[in-house]
Amino acid sequence: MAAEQAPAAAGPHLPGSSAPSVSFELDGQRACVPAGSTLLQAILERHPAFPHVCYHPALGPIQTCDTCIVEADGRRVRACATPVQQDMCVVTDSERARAARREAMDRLLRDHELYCTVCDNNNGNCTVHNTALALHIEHQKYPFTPKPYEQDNSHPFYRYDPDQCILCGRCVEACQNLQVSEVLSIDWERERPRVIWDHDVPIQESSCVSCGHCVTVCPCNALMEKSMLGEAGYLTGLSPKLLERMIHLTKVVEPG
Amino acid sequence: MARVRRTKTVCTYCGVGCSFDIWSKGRTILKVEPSMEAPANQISTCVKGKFGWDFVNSPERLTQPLLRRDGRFVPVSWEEALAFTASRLRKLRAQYGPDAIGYISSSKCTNEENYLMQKFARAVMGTNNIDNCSRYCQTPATEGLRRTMGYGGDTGSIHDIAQADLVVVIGANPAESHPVLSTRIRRAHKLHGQKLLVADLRKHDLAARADLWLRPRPGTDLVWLCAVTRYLLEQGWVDERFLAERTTGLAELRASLAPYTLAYAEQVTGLSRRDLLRTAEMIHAAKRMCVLWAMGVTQHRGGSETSTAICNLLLVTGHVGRPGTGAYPLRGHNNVQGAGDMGCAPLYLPGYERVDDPAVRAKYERAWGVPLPENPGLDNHLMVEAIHAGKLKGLYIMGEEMALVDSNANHVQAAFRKLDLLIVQDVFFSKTAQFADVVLPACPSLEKDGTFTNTERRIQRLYKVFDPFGESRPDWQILCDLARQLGADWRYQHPSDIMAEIASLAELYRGVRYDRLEGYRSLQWPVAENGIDTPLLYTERFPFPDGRARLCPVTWQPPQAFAAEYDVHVNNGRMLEHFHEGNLTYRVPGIAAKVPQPYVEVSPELAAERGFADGAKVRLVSPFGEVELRATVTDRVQGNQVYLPMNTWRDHEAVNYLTSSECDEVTHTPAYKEVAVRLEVVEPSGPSPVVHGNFRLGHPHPQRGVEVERKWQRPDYRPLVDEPPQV
Repeated sequence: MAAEQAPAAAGPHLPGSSAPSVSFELDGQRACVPAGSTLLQAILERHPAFPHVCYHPALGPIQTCDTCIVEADGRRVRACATPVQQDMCVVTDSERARAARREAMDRLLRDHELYCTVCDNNNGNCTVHNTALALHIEHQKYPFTPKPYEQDNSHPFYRYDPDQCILCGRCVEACQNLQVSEVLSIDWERERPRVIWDHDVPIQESSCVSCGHCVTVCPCNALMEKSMLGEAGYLTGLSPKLLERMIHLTKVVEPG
Repeated sequence: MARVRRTKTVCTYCGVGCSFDIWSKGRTILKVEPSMEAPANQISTCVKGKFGWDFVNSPERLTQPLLRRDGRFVPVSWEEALAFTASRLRKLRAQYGPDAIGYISSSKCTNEENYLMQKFARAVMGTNNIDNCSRYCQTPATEGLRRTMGYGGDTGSIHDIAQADLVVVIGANPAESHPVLSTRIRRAHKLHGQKLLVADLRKHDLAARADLWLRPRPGTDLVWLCAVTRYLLEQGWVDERFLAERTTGLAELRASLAPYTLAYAEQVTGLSRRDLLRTAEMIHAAKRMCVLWAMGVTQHRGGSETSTAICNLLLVTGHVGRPGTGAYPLRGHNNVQGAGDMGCAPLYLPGYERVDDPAVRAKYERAWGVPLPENPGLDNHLMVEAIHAGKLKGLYIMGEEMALVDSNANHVQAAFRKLDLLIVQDVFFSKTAQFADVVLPACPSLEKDGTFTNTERRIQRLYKVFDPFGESRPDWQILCDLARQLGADWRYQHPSDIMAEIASLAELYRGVRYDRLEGYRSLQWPVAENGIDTPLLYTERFPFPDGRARLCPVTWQPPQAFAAEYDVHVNNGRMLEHFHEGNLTYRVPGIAAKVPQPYVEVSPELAAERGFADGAKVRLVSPFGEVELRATVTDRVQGNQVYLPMNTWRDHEAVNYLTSSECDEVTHTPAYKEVAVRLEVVEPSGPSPVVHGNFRLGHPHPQRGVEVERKWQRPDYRPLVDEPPQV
């Protein structure tokens, strides 16, 4: 049966074209992957839980999060954006690579208030939560600091919470290059960057076509369906005031 | 967490066939979550698929059967409704014969339900008067493909469109009508160098992005297609080997193209010679071309002919049967392909097996245990005329808002008033239901199991998310109940039983089984007994006795002429946010807030000439009826062409009060696109109908992507890698 594993969005590879393969060394073992594969794709074949945040198979490498860094031929590289080359020697577990990934995650968490216990996105598929666990983050090196922006609740179907946004840019990539409505961008030059709609207007006033791509690819709870709020976490349906206190409490006991 | 259920379904809206998980808690939908497993869409959705489901719990759902008594509808029990319906059907048949009743099936219903509807018409009631709304849209495309290539379906898959190096879109607006499919074109165009050629009256999203946008006069596509085909043949810019080995009829085609010179095409279409030549050059330069078309082609009196001309062009250039090539008549509804596949048409049993073939009829007679009718049946167009002629007395409409979506609505509704019996089975109390004698409450897709077949011929399973609302029932159960009342021994326990029967009979669905469709697995027909399916058609042969495609000469049918007073052309179609007559989407508060009502798009030059502004109220008067609604002034349309979306259930806005009963000669598809009106200004200004929250008021901000270099250039960014990233 012709199951269609190759995502249509992934690029111009024709199915059936017998792609040549390359072999390389991964953590001391030989591995063989189709030519053109990235290191991250190759690593995920062997270690499905290998950390990565901004990479999504429908979007390709975005290179904003730095959490997938490995050593390739002695140099630290982003696995998501590095093509596998013949006889390359790749080490995922070196001290330097681990430190880089850990530092990257610490940087992300500076932009993300950890209140997973009461979060509506904590239902198994929160990429940030899972990656923090995979990296054994127990202490947050850079304390979370709020961004000087209000939540945007203007859209009827979804909200944007800048304080939860790790600026991975998945939403931007999805909007610019998969949906290609070209609404979202990150204003990188601000003191505290954030995702903006059009030229920085409330979502409801923008050219957003409400396709939902951005919400679907958001690796945390920054972009959430409003219908999920207060409904889908382990401890949901809390009043805003109680939620705030719970968030405060969980920050004491949770990683970070 | 345990309270949250995740159930896979297939979208109820357009023909792209997006599938995703519905997260639910009780009857509340928490979210729609698409994933990479979904074969047609992966993680993609549009506003309707992602957010457009509130209608399922609408207090306006039909929850009980209704009977008309003394001019009023009263709720009754299922027993009473079924007994009434069966006895009236029996009586009508006894009095006037089986061919005095017609049956309309539904592109919103599952394959299993469509199969049962035509089986009900033929095996239980004894008539071939069965049709579905593909007659309103893509039957001419099916006709063009069947004449030339053999199968009435897209020749490849959405990923073939993504892989093409040239995509040609004719009379279609995928960004609004097939939103997720359009993302693949925009992505390939933006990132992978795909070329885009659009022929359309209107500057829609893809037209605005196109490398070449042709804006021919309405109804003249056949002429430029033939002229370009002729020019390609003259230049030798054709696939000689493909023509020699895989086609027949080249000499006849070549001769038939003689009149279609570039000069003639310029004169008829209004396109410049330069643009016609550029079109030919772009096609010549393409190694893999896909042609997409929809209602702008088919909803004309020459719809089948133009569809055939598209197929000829693809065959002459050899762009069929290879990855990244092919013909894509984009299907409008989620299961309009399936409704056709299941034999909901007068001439066809399931799998497009002809009713007039004795061997086919014998096969179905053996399986169903009854003699089958030989009389040719009526399609939905002919049914309306037969009612007016006093020949058709009863009509059973399942899931179709025929009173508003068939053309010439006044004429159709006048016919409904003449019926002795109208049975309407629907989710909501529709306009059509207002004419009914009995209304049976049905379930939408989220409340049933079954399969849909998308535009790629892809069969996908939907799983029940919720129990039926109130006393509503899935359509397949209603049909079974009714068939049993009429003496048929129908014992299907589950839609999978019905699919097993379909697969045992219809060659195209031979290997389709529910276990092969579990979860996100899918099959694209034809499916062989062993489960091997066919994502790409015609890789080796065409399904004709000689295995060759047939080039077919075509004739141009000029569009209808109107009296001089009707000086404004009314283009019509869909808008992104709403679907069809809007019975589902206007019941989604977030969508209704963004687009509360349809509006007519008027060009700046026409507004200036007639002295009105954005927000004006205008009346459009055709020879067949009139509508009145507010206008927005936009350069998406030009000159005396206006655009009126079909998305409304309100009488004073519905485009089909303007359309005529003219139709494609071969298929009887209404010529919805051949409408002319007189425009009267009711109020020269007023509140704009394009309200806060409408994306068309926004200002997109195109970038290459996330532009991570700008992050790396920040003074506070310290690199964690040892070398510049390899992009």
